[in-house]
Amino acid sequence: MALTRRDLLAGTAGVVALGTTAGPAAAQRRGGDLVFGQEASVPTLDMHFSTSIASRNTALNMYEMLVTRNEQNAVVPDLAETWEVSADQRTYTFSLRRGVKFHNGKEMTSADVLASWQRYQRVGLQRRILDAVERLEAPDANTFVVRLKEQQATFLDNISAFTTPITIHPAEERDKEGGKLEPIGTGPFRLEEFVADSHVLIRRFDGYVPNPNHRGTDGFAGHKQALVDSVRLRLVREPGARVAGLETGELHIVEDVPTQAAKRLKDHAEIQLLPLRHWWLHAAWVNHARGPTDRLLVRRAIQTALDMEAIMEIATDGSYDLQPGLQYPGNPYYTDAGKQYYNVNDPARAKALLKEAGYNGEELVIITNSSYASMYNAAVVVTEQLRGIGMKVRMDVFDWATAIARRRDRTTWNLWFTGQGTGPSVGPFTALIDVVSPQLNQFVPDPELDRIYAELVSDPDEAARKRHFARFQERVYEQVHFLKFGDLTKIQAARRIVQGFRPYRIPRFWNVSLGA
Amino acid sequence: MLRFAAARLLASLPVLVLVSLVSFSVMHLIPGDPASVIAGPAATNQEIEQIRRSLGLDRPFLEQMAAWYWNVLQGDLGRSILLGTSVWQALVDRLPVTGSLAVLALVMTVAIGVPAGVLAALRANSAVDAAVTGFALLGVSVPSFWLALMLIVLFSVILEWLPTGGYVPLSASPVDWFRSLLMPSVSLALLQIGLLARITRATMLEVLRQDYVRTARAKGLPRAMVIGKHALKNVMVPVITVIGISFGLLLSGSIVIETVYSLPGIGRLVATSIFGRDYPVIQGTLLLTATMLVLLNLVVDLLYAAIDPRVRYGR
Repeated sequence: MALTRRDLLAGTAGVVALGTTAGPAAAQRRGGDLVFGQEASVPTLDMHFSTSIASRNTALNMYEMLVTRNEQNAVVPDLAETWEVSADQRTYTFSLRRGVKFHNGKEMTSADVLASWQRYQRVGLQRRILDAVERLEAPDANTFVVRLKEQQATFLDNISAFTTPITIHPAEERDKEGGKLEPIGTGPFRLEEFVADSHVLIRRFDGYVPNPNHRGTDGFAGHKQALVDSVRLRLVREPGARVAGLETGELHIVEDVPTQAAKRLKDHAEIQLLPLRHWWLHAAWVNHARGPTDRLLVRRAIQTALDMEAIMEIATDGSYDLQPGLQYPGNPYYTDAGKQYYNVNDPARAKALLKEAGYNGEELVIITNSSYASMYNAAVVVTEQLRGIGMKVRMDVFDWATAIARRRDRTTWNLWFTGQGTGPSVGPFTALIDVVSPQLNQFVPDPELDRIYAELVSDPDEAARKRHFARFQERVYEQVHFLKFGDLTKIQAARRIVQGFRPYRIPRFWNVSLGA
Repeated sequence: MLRFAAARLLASLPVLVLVSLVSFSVMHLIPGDPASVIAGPAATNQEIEQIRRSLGLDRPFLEQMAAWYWNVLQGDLGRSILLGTSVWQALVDRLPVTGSLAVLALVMTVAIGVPAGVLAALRANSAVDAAVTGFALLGVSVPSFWLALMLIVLFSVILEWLPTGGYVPLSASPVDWFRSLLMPSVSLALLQIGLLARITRATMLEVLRQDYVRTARAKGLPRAMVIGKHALKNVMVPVITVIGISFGLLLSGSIVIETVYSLPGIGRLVATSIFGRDYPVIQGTLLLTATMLVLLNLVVDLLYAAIDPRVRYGR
């Protein structure tokens, strides 16, 4: 291993602490044009209609939600001032912050919140999170009421998740189709220019009134102040060009620095590395409807054979953590339940399980893609490890769009390589919906799993919900619904001139300044 | 000549129809569609179907194709699914970038490739010949993306002479426009320079052995006139063919170069559109590039006549 995660963290920890302390925003310098180098193009700025991380990078600096997440991922108000929950847990009454303005100058009222939620119910890609809603009401200009058909303990978690966020826009946008939204929000930056495969330029919104209930940067909430005049998010796909741009100073902050480049930049006087551990969970879906993975013993054999260290080492070039959780450490629901099934790396036992399963050389089909190098590399290692226990394995490589299309066909694959980034970070409810009915990425329902999930989302007691989640995770491992390999570390880097930039799942450009 | 050009243009219409027909069919036949890409891997079939309906992708294939042709006949290339703009606007915005890149690279190719090939032929089997042939071989062999990255390291990071990427429009600053395109053009041109130098050298050697060159020398014409007037003119016919082909290759090569240098051109547009299955943009881009190549071939044919008096069109 050329550069271990430990080396990297040891070399950068002090720097990160020094260079990214938020500090009182007032003491920071105003002005300047910040340039951020990002790896993927922004397909749309309609966050109701996008699951793209690149879209979030930009849009969550322009738009806000009723409730959002703080630095510890807890639910906090943003455009809402406060909320109240009725005794029967079916009515949520949100009082809105007053004096909040949209980028078009119009003051935000409950009519806008109502219209935005109604639009999300119609076109939102994750509109199923609002399935429990019976009625939405705006009784006065500053009050928004949500009535649920039945109690849903995870309601606030769902509506504050930022995978496909329920961003608030002017009411006139209600009837716009997905992808056709005018990019107007209430955030500290407003859109100036958007060239889809080139750059997005956002400029300080002078009418923005920071939330007085917060101090400093705190997740997507906080006391947000646009200190720089503008932020240009430049698409620089090629990692080498991104790093070169950072070295020359053309780019102030870049995302996704390759591990080898990080090693070189570690001692650079003008650059600080900002590793984001547990950024991405590398995994494969397991098809229970197609042989040979329709048999539990074969699935167990695969699970038992895998050496996660070798897989993650090759997949990530050394930037990873091994841990069994389907949540990231530090998340409220984090648990290592099922760890006895993780990273077993026992080929002899795996062979015995195959024999017990009556495996007779049926072909196992792995689908991976050429669009994400780490997924492809992981698949190559898994293929070899499974051949090592005597399985006949075929690896099909497609581009991402084709791989997605193939995933829905239960007859064409056994293991489908993927990753989850934001899902596990916002809590267990969004991420794990993939293996419960009706989503069922494994195609065959698991009634026990569905039962645990139903308890998980409805139990009003948080401690009990955590227990349900631990049981859920263990069941996923027991039945091998999902093969988790490890957590990838994403390395961001910034010029030292950048002050107040705190690494987070999505870059936040408020309270960030450019020093002299 | 005019009748010839008009006939050629008319004859190219079936080519364009065929290109669009094949691309339309192939893109719709390969798995994956924009709805799947937008929804992501975790979406249910029901959600995908809803997006498909909202994008009009649930209509029968022939109906979609007929609608597309009908709109094209009226000058409407449709709207991009992922960009949120009209396809025409997307192409117009990006054409100057790729056009500038291809023209600059072509100028470099011709300005270096032809003289280098001539020089190598005139000094055949000398050190100069070996140097030109070696350089040409290097140009053909070096992968353009690797060269592009090495140029960035040398001229941007170490020497700090040129920007690492991005595009500056000519109207904003001619100097910065040139600076932003210099490394991309060199990266793109190197392969073509190598090809052109080798073709020019081989053709020139062939021509120098012809009787009319020997006659020209025998009647005492100065060497410069023999080479410049009699030999070079005959070399130019195959060389122009290669230049025409090169221009097409420059357009396809721009996909890689525009990605490395972060240039928002046609190449990157088509790559993004293919991965996102943005059918209208793929269709529009292919139609545009096919039209450009048809026109280019026509120009090459007309140039033959200008250079070689034996070639006459329209008689």
